[in-house]
Amino acid sequence: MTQWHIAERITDRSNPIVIKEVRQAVKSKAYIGLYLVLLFVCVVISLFACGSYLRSGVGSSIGDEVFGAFLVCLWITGFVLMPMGAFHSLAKERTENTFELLNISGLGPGKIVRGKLGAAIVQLGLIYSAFVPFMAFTYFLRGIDLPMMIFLIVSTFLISVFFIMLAITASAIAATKRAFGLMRAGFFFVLIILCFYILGGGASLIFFGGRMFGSGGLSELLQAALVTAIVLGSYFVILYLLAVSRLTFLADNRSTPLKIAFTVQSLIFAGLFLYLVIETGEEEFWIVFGLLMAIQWAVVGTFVTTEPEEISRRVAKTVAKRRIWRWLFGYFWPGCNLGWAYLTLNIVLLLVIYFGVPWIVSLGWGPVARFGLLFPKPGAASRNGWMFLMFPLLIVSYIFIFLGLTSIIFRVFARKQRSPYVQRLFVVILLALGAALPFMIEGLLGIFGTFANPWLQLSNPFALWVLVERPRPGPALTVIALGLLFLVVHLRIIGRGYLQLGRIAKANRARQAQLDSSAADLKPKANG
Amino acid sequence: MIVQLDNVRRHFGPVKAVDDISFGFDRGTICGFIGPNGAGKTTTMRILATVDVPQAGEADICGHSVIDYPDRVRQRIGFMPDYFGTYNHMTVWEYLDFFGLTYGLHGKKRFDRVRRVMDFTDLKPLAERDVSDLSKGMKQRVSLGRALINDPEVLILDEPAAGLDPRARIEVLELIQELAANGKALLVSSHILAELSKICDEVVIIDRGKIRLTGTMSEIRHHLRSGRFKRGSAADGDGATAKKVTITFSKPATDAEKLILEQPGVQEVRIIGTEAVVEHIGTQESLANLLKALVTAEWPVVGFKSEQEGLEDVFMAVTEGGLE
Ligand SMILES: Nc1ncnc2c1ncn2[C@@H]1O[C@H](COP(=O)(O)OP(=O)(O)OP(=O)(O)O)[C@@H](O)[C@H]1O
Ligand SMILES: [Mg+2]
Repeated sequence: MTQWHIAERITDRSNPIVIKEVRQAVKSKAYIGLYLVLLFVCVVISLFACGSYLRSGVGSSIGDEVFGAFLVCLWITGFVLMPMGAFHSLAKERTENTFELLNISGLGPGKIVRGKLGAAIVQLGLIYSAFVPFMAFTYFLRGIDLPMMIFLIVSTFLISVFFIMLAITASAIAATKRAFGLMRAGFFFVLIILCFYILGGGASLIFFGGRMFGSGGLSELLQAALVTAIVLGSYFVILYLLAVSRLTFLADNRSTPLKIAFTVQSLIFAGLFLYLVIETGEEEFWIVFGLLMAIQWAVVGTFVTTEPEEISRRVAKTVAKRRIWRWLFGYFWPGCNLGWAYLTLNIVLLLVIYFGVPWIVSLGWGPVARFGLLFPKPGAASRNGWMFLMFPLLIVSYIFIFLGLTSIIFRVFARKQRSPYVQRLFVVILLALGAALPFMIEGLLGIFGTFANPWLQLSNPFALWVLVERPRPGPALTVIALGLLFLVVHLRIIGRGYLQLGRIAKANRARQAQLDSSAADLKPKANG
Repeated sequence: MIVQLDNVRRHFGPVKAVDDISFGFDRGTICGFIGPNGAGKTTTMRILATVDVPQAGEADICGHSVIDYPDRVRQRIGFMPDYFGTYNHMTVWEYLDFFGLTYGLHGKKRFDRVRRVMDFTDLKPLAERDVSDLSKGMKQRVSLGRALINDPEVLILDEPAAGLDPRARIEVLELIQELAANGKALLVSSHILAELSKICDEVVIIDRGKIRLTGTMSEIRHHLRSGRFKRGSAADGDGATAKKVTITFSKPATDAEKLILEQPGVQEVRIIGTEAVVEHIGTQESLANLLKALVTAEWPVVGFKSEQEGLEDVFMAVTEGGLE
């Protein structure tokens, strides 16, 4: 078999985007330039290393420092430069509208995103193949052992892949040229910060634990790595689905896969954090879980409750025929009405988990004493207990209040302006207003520094800690009552969402019958 | 009919971009899709290309619904949108080869298809040129080539001749004609009826989401000769004709504009010095009434000339006079 044939085979089997991007990269001055610069840096670092090794005499161990220098180069390329490249590459696909052409030509959004990711990984791999031989050579300079080296290289690679995915998603989210400009600036900033942050963290890892074995912390390190991998892995999947959804035609289903993923991720996180609580005995992890979920569901809720109400006919076709399936899984379908159902059901599920699991545990299942704070023994009144209880309830109430207010205002006063973007912007403005209101009142009344007054801070969800710091039933219960009120008001909207699904199923049946009968009309003609 | 639309509707909020339109055409036919800016041409074509979905109605291509079976439809169509879609650092050959790959063409088959398409669109001399550096006319040919790469039965071309110089335009139109001769069905949009009149078999004129006029080119010419044309919406087949009327006065005509506009049948007035050029749709009688009104108002009319409208004027009359 000739070389040409092999190349042709690889071309045929691979994702076309990968082939295209690699072809483009080979011709692009930026990539070739970067490659040459990095090779040059490798050589320079090696020369310095040799020099200082010879000067400090045989037997010294400078391997960890030299390895660190190489690693920093990999960080900068993998955490900043390659993600930027991936960002630009997809941004171009969006501004030039080529993703639309690709979609029509049978290369779906999933393949586009995987292709972009694959192309970036191939390019990253090329750079690694230049670096790794140099890095392996630092082993002989001593100061770092092989498992540590492998661990650092592999984890750097994986984190780079995560950042590339992040960049691709950011690029898929930005829709206009101006948004691209903004995103690019913000993105660069974030990456630089991350880079420095990791520079500090990574360096300490090398210099304090150059040897993986012998420091005794292997199992802890592996555990931390496993937890990180689960968290980042689940976000990786969500970023991927988010990017795919953004490249999907508006007429297709953009939200069901994401909705399923968010629910599954929440369940995985519940398991993970429960494991952490039991493993470490620190029940604060459970609060971290609650906070994380609260923030996440506030964001998810903002998106799902502001989707367009109308469901495209192509999506409508996929609505289940049988009522039982519609009632069981209908809330995963797009549309803001069902979005409310989705948000509510997930929040209820999470609250049940949040309070239910510790309760069951405290009843005598597993390590009993773990959740003593949340369900204290009679008589042992605890401030933290109040916090455990109120934190999630208040956050959930605020979510319902702000999203509910937005939803009602737009439904009543601005039916025509219910574009998702305007509504999401409105949520943010409402939040800002709510946060600023107490301070404006303070300014008007000429009293300052009254964070102590919980009633004044009621409109400010960011001052939630005022309500949970100390048991303050009055204001806290007011917020919860308001949240409940908005939830009850939206039960009607949830119902409307389900009725809409029923109507769609009916219309589908009617249309199918009509199509069948017209097909039957055609048949005799075709035969005759 | 290989392409068939039935009561297709697509509204964007209050904007009725496409409002219950129906038409169809067959293999080997070029269907001209004519309308002014914002008429709904691109929206319709995007629905046919499976990018968008109508809110009501059915659209089938080769017997497959664009709503239910987008994948089947996508294999059978070539879509040339109103944008080009370039990539950097990519030659014309690589560009077409890449789209061949996305359609799942492999090995020699893809190689042959790319070569055939390049032959057909006369892109051979440009094979090694970078696509992002091409001129508009060349890009348009590459774009057409890309739409042809999967050997589709139906081609949907959104303003393929827009912005081209006369020579490039003729070249593109010739390619389109050749495709129809090869048995493909083509939907070609344009702002300009005259541009497509030489190559079209059928014409659909659309304005503000409604079809204003449909028919074969010879039907339209026939109507034109007989001084009447079928209006897609209004059913006033009472011998109404579109005429361009030039009225000459012995003094500057600026003040006459209001009076002329008030007369029945008058669509538009342009005043040039002592002349008023009037777009008029109506019967001979209403034309006579226009003159009578001017004379009654003691305007010094020294010339009153009406001429049968050409293709472009028909288009003007149909699209802008289509107010209900
Ligand atoms: N995605 C959209 N959102 C809102 N309105 C839209 C959208 N797409 C098109 N429209 C509106 O629909 C109408 C028809 O637009 P369309 O692009 O189909 O016209 P067109 O005939 O192709 O015009 P042109 O000759 O300018 O290309 C316009 O009023 C346009 O503003
Ligand atoms: Mg258009």
